[in-house]
Amino acid sequence: MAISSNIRRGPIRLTPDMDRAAIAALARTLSPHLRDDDRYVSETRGGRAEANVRLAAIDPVAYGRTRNHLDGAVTQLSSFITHGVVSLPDVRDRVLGAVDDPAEAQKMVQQLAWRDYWQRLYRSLGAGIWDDLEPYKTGFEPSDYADDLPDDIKNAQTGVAAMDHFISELLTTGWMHNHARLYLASYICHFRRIKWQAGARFFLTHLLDGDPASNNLSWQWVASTFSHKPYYFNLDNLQRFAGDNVDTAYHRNKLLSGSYEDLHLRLFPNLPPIVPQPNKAKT
Amino acid sequence: MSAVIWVHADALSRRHPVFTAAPDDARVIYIWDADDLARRNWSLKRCVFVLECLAEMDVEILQGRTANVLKSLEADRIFTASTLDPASLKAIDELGDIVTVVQPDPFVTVPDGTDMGRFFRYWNKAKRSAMQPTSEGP
Repeated sequence: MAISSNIRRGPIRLTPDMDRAAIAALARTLSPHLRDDDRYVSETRGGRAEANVRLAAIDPVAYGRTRNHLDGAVTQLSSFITHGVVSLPDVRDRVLGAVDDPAEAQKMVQQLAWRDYWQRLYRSLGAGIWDDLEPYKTGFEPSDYADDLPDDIKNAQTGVAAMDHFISELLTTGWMHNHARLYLASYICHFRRIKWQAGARFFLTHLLDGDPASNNLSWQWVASTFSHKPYYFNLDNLQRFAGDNVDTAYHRNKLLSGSYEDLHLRLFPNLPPIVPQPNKAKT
Repeated sequence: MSAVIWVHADALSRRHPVFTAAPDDARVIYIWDADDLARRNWSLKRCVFVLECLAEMDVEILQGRTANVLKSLEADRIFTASTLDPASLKAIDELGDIVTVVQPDPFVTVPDGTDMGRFFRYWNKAKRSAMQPTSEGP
């Protein structure tokens, strides 16, 4: 019986000085569901000490100026916020304390508010967070979308260099810039026509900050089941924000290339051929 | 009276107010529920991240199904941080009157009935308190 087996196994106590290899080995012992080929440990170490380093490095002014760029001054505090290592008020107070004029902090505080907003919605939605909140506005029905992720996406072998870069980053580090998440989610939903739920499950497996509220509702925003229109992008936009670390060369990202008008026709052929005004990334 | 603080993956911090709400001598535990992790399908890196957070917290890690472990403790009172995780909410519900769920400090205050249909409808109501330092209150 489970109760007696719990008692026999006895408690485990960890100490802050345990090395990461020992913790990874323990994680494997404790978690039989882990596959042998799941071998990555993030460069981000858990715990308050690491969170404090990131809190001290917050630069709200640089964040407000560069946050949409994949090499911008983002905090990478999200994993610590999701797991309650630091709280939203902790971060807000640090942000406000780092500026002379509160207006300089507003962009960053607003991003913190997104998490609060998602959590409030999750409180009322419960398990319904896995359902389409609204119909797709793509000209397609849910049944037009594939149920599962194909292996080329799971293994970062899509042949679209930038998307493979983002997937590799997800698999190896457990973190992606929010703008990269939107690009990849858009690629999966609209360029590959796969249900957002399949992508959301993939992200929740790997993102250190994965929680159903922020994750699923952001996916629904991209898919258009929680927004007025689908979020999509083209290679020009990606090249503008990707920085130097992502391969955005045309001949290795041809699928993403085209004007918004062309992409609209290609991705959403059942919609009238209007001149689209794509959603802006909310990073 | 035997009191327990049940730490879960949504509140991995000794600074959470659950630690001030509970008696000083409360036993502090975390439940490593392998079945629940399989349901969530967390990767190795997610498991390691959580264990590293726990390593800083001086907490006993107990293995087993969450509800079974909580019952096996035979505690008079169990304190835990609020959560939205469905499995944890179910376990809290099954504990009945012995459980105290402690809320974190709020980030913002918004009026009851605020339209949550889109973010900016919420933000327009939340912005003023969001921009106030916690010590000054919303």
